Amino acid sequence: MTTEERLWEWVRTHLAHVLGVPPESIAYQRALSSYGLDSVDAVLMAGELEEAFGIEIDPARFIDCDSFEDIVKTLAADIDKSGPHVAIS
Amino acid sequence: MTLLERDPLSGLCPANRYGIYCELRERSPVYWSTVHSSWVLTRYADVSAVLRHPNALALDGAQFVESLSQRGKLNLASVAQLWSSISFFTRPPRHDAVRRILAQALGGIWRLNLPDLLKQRADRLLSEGEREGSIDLASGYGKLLALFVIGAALGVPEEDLLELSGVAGGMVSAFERILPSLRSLVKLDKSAAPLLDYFSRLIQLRRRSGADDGASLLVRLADQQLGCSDRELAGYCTFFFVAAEETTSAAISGAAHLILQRPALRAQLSGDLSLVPQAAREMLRLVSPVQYVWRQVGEDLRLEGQLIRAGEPLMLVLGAANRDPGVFRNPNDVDLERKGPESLVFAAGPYRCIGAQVAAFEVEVAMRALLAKPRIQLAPQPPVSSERMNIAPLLQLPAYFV
Ligand code: HEM
Repeated sequence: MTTEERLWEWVRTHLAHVLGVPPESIAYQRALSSYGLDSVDAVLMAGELEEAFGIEIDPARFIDCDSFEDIVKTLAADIDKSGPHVAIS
Repeated sequence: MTLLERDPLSGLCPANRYGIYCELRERSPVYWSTVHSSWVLTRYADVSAVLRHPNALALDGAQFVESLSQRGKLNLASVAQLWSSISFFTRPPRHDAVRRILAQALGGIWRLNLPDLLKQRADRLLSEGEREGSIDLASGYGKLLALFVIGAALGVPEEDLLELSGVAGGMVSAFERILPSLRSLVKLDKSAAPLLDYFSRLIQLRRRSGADDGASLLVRLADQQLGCSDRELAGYCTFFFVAAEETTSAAISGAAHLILQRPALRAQLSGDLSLVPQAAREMLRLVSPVQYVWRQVGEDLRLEGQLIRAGEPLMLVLGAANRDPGVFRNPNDVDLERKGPESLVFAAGPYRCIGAQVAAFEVEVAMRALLAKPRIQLAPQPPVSSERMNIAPLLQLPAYFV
């Protein structure tokens, strides 16, 4: 799996869990806000992602992006750039 | 709103802030920042209008931390406690009650013969530096004077001040962003706990054997008017400490820097000390120790043709408003003849700083003491500034005596 795929898998599973819906119902092209999630959810999700992927994420990015694809792609690029010291579990 | 290619605020730091403000003020004075998830206002008229808007409220920081702890099943008890004590995170009618007792407690410091004590302290620090040949006007002057006053106001023993200040520094980073990261909140919780413990102990001591100091006064006022627990009271003390320290320290060292860079201004002020209060106002305007504050409006609002919806967060950039050339001609100059509106260095409206008078007074005293030392000069090493975006005092301002 590429970093992008792993990240999206994580985000989708996480959101499905928070919303109590099947992961397939979360679409890559949609935004966090379109699922009725707010800034508290964004901070929590960014925090858990940080732990899982060993990166720093500004929660504001989740609030304001137009689609998950946008942010997942940027984050994946960050992770790939920062190299092997990043622990991906 | 003009669309700028990339969010100018993405690289904001003390070294480049004024260029960024200028770009925003001219091209997009009401700008939606993706970096901050909020509207960013940079013109004096807009910032001032929102600060004074009857339906503009502070963000509800306490509620946010509460929801975060509940939904994330996190223990952020100390941050939650502290947030509920930050008066500019509270709303009326609670805000009015809190603000009143904080202001009354602060008023108590004028009984302490503060003017003389502060002047003596400033003179002493500079004379010690003179004997040694050098002084750091940030860590060894601005910061120590700020601590001296807040210590006197709260009745904190002097030997505890530097350690408290070290811990309190961590709290200031909480005002950088509207959405803190979980990591920073967890870290904050760790530094909030010892501060709250410290002030809880101080309050209990004062309860047992009242002293004639700020903490005792605050205990009495809170018992009479608020009926809050000692832990809450400790929260107010902590907030007071944080609100007063780095802001005033930034103001004093920033003013010292501006004066020592301008020999003509220095000579003019030394020759006529009655100009010092006006000079201090100009220094405060230029330094703007608090660069921005946050608000939400309770109703839709139109600014510069842009619709702001009820509840959307606004970042009011005081540091940009205070250099708006439409209001302050040649905004980057120290102008002792300047007329016109007050700067927004202490904000305005219902949350205006209650320490404004004390802080301005501290800057004046510090400036007079400095002007009395004609041999002091900036050292060749450049000053070092905090890298924070909002409250970013100089950390080092090396000076020496010729
Ligand atoms: C040059 C130094 C200072 C500056 C630039 C400054 C600036 C400010 C600003 C801009 C606010 C408004 C915050 C907001 O609207 O969100 C504020 C509020 C406040 N400041 Fe200051 N401050 C300074 C010194 C002090 C000092 C010395 C004290 C206390 C001893 C103090 C106590 C407070 C308090 C209690 C509030 C909250 C007022 C309220 O919630 O109604 N400040 N300050």
